[in-house]
Amino acid sequence: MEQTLFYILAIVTVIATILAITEKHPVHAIIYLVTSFFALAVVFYLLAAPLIAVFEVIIYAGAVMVLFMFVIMMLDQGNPEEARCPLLVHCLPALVLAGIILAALLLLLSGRSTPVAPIGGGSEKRLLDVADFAITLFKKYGVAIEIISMQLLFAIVGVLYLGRRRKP
Amino acid sequence: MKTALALIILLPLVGGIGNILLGRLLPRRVVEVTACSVIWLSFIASLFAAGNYNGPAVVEMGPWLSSFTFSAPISLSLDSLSLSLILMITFVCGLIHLYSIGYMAGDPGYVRFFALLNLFTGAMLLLVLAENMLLLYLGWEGVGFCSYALIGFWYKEAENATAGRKAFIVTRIGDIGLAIAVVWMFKLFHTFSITQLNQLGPSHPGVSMGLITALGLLLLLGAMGKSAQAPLMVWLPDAMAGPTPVSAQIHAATMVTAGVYLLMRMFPLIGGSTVVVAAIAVTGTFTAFYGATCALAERDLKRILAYSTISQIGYMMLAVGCGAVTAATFHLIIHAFFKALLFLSAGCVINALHHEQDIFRMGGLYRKLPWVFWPFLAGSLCLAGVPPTGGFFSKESILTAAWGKGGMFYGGLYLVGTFTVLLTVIYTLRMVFLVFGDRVPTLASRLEGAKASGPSVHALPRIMEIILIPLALLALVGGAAGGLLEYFLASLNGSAGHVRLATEETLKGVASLVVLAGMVIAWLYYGYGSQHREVRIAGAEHPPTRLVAFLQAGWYFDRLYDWLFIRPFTWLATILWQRVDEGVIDDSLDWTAVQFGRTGQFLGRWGSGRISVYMLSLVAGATLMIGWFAWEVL
Amino acid sequence: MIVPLSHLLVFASVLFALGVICVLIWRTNVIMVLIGIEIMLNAAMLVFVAGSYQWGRADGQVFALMIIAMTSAEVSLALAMVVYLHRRKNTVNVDEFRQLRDR
Repeated sequence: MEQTLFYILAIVTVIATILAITEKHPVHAIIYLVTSFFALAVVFYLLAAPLIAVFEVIIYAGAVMVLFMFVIMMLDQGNPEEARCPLLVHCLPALVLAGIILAALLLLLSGRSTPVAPIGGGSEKRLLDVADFAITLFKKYGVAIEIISMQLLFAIVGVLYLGRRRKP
Repeated sequence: MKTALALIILLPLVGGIGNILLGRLLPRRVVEVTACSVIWLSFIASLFAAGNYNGPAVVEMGPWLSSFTFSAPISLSLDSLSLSLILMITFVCGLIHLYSIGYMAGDPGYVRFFALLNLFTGAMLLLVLAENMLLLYLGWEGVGFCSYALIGFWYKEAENATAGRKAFIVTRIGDIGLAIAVVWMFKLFHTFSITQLNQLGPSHPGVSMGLITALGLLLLLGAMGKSAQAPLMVWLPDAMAGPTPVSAQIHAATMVTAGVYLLMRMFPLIGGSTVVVAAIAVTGTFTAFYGATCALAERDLKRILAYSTISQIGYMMLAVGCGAVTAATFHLIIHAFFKALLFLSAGCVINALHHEQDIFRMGGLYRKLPWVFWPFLAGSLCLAGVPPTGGFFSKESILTAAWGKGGMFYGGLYLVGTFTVLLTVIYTLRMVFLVFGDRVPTLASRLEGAKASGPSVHALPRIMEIILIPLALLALVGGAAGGLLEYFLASLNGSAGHVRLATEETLKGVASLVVLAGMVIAWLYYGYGSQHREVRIAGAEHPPTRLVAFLQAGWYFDRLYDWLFIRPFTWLATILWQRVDEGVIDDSLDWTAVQFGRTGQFLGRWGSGRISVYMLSLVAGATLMIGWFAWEVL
Repeated sequence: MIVPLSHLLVFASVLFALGVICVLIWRTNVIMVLIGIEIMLNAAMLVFVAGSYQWGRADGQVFALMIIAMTSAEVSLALAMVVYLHRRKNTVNVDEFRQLRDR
């Protein structure tokens, strides 16, 4: 049942992403992307990462995408005439490069066909819960939390600087 | 004793440094008095040391350099040799300092002059008193530097500066020999102490006669440079560019005697090698002959004296080569007196004649400068070796020593030496007659009428003339000191042959006859009233004959060296400069820089500022990397 | 284990390739470039979470969280810059901003 759900979600994600990147209208592209992220969030949930799934919905699909939407509307990029349609000539190198990357990645995956042994002494598999996540986060990566929070602070400062109203 | 020795060296050094530092702030009189008084105080200290002298002594002043087995303390040695030399040096230098007050009366650079003169004396005293080779080398180089600075004292004229450089570079060739010898000696004997070196000698394990010979030849090279011996004698005639007191000091006391002194000092070590001894004797004899011949044709008063110095130093070398260290020292000291005397009186003459140095344009000065004439005559007689002046006895003792060695080789050297005595008499008296003798008015000047009595003369500072008197007395009666000195220095003599009394008297007679013959020849050629004198003076206006030109140019040694060393060196330097440095190194660097610049400009075209291109390149690079990983797996 | 790890990785690879395509074909439009970067980051997150699931360790999830935090900072700053640049030149075409190129 979960297996089937996963494949369905994967297909939905991929299709939504393809639609998002081929869409000329930026607002529509954002909507497709939100769809894609929702599907991905469910995949995360299936992979025993409920917290990440929630963050994906709240931050990505919620905050970030809404931010994009705001900017698009604010800059009046909403009409497709202004967003110039990329030419096929421009698409060609992109497709070639992306194709090579994909092929190489798949090749690497198939080359490593033997399943990787679990790290950490082969104890029996158990599902992670939020408590495990929290303990790892705050005990093992305490410094990383601090650094990330500093980074957010810097981002706030930078945004305030960029966005301040200048005298003409 | 320790204090006295320290004072002997320190006083001139302190005086010189003090004058360098404070001289400009002090009145002229103070500078002059300081410069002279330190030398005279040093002389008094030397006298004190002589009074308390009882046997050779080594005094250690303090540590200087030491690490592991290497040590060179500041130690001074006082023995009969160094004692007699410091007495002579301080006395002669003191007189020269006093004379300089008069000579430099109008010169604005007097502070520099007196400071360097003091340092010069101090360095020479250090050289003489040094007990270890490093200290001796320090003094040696100090002397070299001061002579350079003083020869080029009037450096604003390119000629004088060149003369200074030439002296420095030529003596440096010899200095290299000495430096190698010093280091080599340390390697062989593990000591710098001169006393120990002389004691160890060839008996030291691992030291063969061949090594001693090599060391001796290196020391001889050093002495050649400093003492202006063939083939490194070319600097001395040019060194006449300096002020006359400097010439006097270089020739009499402080510079050229250093080489002879070095050989005398190290004689116990190197005297064992027959090759070295023979080489020293040959060098000395050849140089004596060379100097005398050049002096015969030279016209410049100071250069004549310079060539005579070269010649006389050659005699000293001959004496050392014969093992007669006493005779060498005797001649060295007598030479110091009469050469200082000659130079100082020549300085008077030149000063009086407004810097005219050509002896053919002088004449009749004995009436105008009687106070210069008589001392000059005394010095000349001494240089010529006319009995019974000091010069006769000292030169005679050298020739006796050469004869006493016996054999074909030394016999030949004796003959050349005796012949050189004849030449010496001739050129000395030629100088005296031409400078001081009456000038018979030539036809042209007789018509002119006014200048008939010779060149005009201006008055000299009194002090310059007074200084000449004690020197003249010393030069004349110095011979009497010979016996005393012989007794005093007896311990220094090497394997000088013993000469019977009768032979010695015969040799003296021969020498006297030779001198007499020389005087007659000189009289005939240059004396008053002789026909030849007028012919010579008139002939001097014409271009010289080939032989005379050859002698005047110093046997063309300068030209030979120019051709042998300087031109190839210049050529090589030009090649290295224009081809190698500019052609290869500079151009290759320029080329590299240009290529880097071009590459940068070429690559700079990618910096189009178009972010889309950057992104494409980034992804392409990432693709390449991932593709390469995949290729590895494949 | 609902699906093998390799399937998850294939899924992530496809998503990443789509992000690359988005960046490259819209490479003159800065907003779409940012969207492409988001897609690629999501693919990376997916790999982290899959790894975490595979080996039963929470580290992967922690890194996914880090990516989310980093992305929010990055996007806010980048969009502020877009607004700033648009205010100056009235365009979102990145090729218009070439003042720093080598002349």
